[in-house]
Amino acid sequence: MLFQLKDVSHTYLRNTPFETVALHNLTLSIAAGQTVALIGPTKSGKSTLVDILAGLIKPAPGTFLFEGADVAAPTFDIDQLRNSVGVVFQSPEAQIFEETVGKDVSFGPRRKRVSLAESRRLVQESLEAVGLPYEDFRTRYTYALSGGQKRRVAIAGVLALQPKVIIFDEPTAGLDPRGRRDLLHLIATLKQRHDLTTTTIYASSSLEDVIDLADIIHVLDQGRVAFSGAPREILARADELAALDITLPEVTQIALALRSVMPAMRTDVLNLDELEQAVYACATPTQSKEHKLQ
Amino acid sequence: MIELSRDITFGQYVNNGSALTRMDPRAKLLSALLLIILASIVNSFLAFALCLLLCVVVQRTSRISTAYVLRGYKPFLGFLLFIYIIEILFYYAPSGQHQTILWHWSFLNISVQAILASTITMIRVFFLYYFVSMMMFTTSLVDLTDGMEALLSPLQRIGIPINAFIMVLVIAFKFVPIFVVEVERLMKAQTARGVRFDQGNFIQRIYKIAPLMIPLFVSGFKRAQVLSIAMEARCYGGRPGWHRTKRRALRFTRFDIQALAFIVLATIITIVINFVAPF
Repeated sequence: MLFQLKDVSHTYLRNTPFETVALHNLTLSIAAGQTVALIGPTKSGKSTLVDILAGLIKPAPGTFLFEGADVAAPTFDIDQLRNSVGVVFQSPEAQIFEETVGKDVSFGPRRKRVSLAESRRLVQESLEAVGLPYEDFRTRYTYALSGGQKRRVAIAGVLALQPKVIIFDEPTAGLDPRGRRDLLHLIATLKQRHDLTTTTIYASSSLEDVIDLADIIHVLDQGRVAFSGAPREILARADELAALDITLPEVTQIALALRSVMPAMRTDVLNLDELEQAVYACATPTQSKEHKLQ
Repeated sequence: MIELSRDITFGQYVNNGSALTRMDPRAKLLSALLLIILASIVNSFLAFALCLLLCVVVQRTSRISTAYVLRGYKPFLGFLLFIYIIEILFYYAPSGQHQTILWHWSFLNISVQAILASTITMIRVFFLYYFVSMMMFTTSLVDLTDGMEALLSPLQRIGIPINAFIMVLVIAFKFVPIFVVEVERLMKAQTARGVRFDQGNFIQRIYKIAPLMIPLFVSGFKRAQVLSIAMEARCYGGRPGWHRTKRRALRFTRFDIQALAFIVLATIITIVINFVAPF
């Protein structure tokens, strides 16, 4: 297992009038090479979990194992964890802090003290990987970029670190439909390219973003894991997801709405074809009779 | 690990429904002003002991945890210590005062009088910070502006733009916690990309903080711009003949008058004791 969390809790602003519990006895494991989605409504603890996995906050109380080593142990080198995990944060404005795109993307490699040629190669590779031409964007000012471009630069900055794990925290928040589609496409391409070597963790409040992308989905609610499973298993419990204010994919929404007239309607449909089949299965008289008999 | 807002408490409003949060802002401001004046003029230890007693009363009424209030002193304890030492070493005695020198080296002296005077200054700073921060803890921003505007409105008549000044002050205060959160986010982003803020000596740490300034200023200016547009859109600004009215009128209650009377009385007693006290 790459990450193992056992009974992890976290309280923000502990011992102040503003203290809030973000995680509550959360237990979770993530295997290497998987694409994992963390789905939950706002305040469910997604961002806190992301910060813990990236080694930015220490879980207390609870145990957090990275590649089998206890992160809380005094002998554990926190840099080892931070160097292995790259995070694309919720708002790219907070992530990008250098004046030009080239400087910002090369920040990680420069920190790691790699040679200038190597750093240059990494910056070029990362920028091309996110679809931004190196020569054109290298000297551009980061403040003048569009929202979608900023996110791409932020992702390039993380790719340049060559992490084993990439975490995306609500990457599509605040983007227009087209920017959102492009970004999801980019993430899917990155996944294919690094398949089996990189672990991808995607935190979001929308199931639609991750349903085609994820191998396994963990649904978070009020700082704990409500339930986990493969995308299809998760969709089968669409009614519970809707109760948690999680945005469902459109086909699932239709399937769920059809339940009011067809109580036996399946909700674990991934596309329109499957939806059609499910509707047919419900509508054939023999099946509905069977249902009545049951 | 990175949680600045735990230590930077100044300017936070703790809305716990205590009697102090419900008090009329004008009465609260006047009380705070009186207490600040009190802390500025007294200089005997007995009077300061009475001030401490007043603090205990205020603290109990506010129902805020004492540990939380005291944590507000943490960020500048080192700075205060530095000032304290400098003040003792470079004490300038009023003419005619007899000095008992304890230690002497070239132009540096430590005298009993210097230690006494500097200690009193430090105690004074402690009280001043306590009263100001306590007022901030128990007063919402809306209350604070309303109270200040009401108290200072006579100045408006002689042509001083009080409303504008107060708005500037309020915005400045309001931006403190926003900036703290912003710095936290930037530090997190840099930590994730390999910066260690918890390592290195004093100079190295300052060197690491410096790159945070540029994005902080950029976001600060952006916020200011958005805010000014929002204010413009809602017709903020004084034009001749315009008069802003309030949805919620301020009204003195019995508690406000009692509290104010108590503070006035306590102030007078403490000042009297200060001048008759032997030490």
